[in-house]
Amino acid sequence: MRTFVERHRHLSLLVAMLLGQLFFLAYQIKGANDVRLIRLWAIAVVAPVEKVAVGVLDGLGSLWDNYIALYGARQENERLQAELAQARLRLQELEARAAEAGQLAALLELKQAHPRAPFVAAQVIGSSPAATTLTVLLNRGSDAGLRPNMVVLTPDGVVGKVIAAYPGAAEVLLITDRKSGVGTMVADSHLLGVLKGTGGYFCRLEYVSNEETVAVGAELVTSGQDQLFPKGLPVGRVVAARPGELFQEITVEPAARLTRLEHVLVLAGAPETLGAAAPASSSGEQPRAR
Amino acid sequence: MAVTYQPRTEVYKFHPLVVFTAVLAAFLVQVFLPPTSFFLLFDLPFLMVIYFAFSRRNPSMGLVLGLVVGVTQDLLSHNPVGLYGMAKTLVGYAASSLSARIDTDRPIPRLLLIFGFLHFHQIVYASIERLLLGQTAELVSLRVLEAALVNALVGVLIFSLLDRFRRTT
Repeated sequence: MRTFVERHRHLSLLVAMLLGQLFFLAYQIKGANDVRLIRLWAIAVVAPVEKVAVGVLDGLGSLWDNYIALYGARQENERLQAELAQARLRLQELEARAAEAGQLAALLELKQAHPRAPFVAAQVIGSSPAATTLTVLLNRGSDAGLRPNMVVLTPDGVVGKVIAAYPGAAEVLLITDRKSGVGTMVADSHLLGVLKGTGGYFCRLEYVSNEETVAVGAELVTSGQDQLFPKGLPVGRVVAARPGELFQEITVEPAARLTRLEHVLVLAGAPETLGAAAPASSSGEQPRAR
Repeated sequence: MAVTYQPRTEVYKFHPLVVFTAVLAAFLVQVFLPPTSFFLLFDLPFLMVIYFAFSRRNPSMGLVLGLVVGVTQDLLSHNPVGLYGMAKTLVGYAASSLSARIDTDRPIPRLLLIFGFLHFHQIVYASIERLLLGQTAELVSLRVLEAALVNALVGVLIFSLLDRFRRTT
């Protein structure tokens, strides 16, 4: 046996590594055991690096805007061109700041619209390094009161939910991830369904029978029936609907711009603290079974 | 007369700091890529496993690097730990074993091998997801084909950049 292992040491190491991971995987699946402690260490190592990287990128961007990009213009010794370039850069900088201020103002507006809701503002500092999982990392964590299953929003709509909170960072599962599911209804008809992620840019509205009519362009809001997402929050817009085998195949574009997330709000409290939002509650109608 | 196997290819060494920095940079760039349909095709940590496995041509080193990179990806993406780990362990082992037999220093073989290994990675990953997690991951799809093409092209460029840091043994 020993001779065999020595002779085939690469293969033996491979088998050992695979078996080790297989048993570890089986342990996690069988007992639904998440390896929280190991993830905690991993996030504790990665989150500060990502925060520093964000700072360095911002600093480099500022250095580029304010010095390097202007250096070439000065070298050309054409005063007017340099002034124009400077003015353009300034304009771009101001536009970028205005856009950021606009985002923050929208967040503030959302926060002020729900004074009783305990919102925590957070910045997105990174996303998942694996293409099969659509998650983002926030710069606020358990020390700011964030807990798993808290709802994450932007003024445009639902972003997802917190799946893990660590000191100084929290992981958010986007609604476009394949493992995500949100209780949803069509805003005008109150038709119920479940919004599932596809792992790409779009989502799918599932469990809507072929007999129902869902118009392209219809706005979707949370139904509140999953006991997690407060009722009436915008989640997306129908971009395609066609009959399927049992249920319709409905493609939905998320309301929140998930590919350009910078600042978000986390609802650090029960869904009821937010109260029902306008689209679902204004009519006072009851949701319709699918 | 004893017949000994002579590798037709050269073995390269790297300063450990180069390996660490390259892998760390791959992770950092990967987490800062916007999650758009196009950028989700990239798997930069996968490319690092392939590159160092090709260059070192040592199966044990290849599989250990694959294990470390894969498990890190699992930990940071909320996957069950071992899903990417097993896929990349096998990729690291297979890539380094293969590189001991064929020349992986030229762009065309690199392009074809990255293309093939990305499919192999997806097949292993999807099989584990199906068998152990009961999920319906696709073994082969147009999306995987696109990812293989994009990573193969990007990989050839990154590999030629990393070639500057290698030393012959």
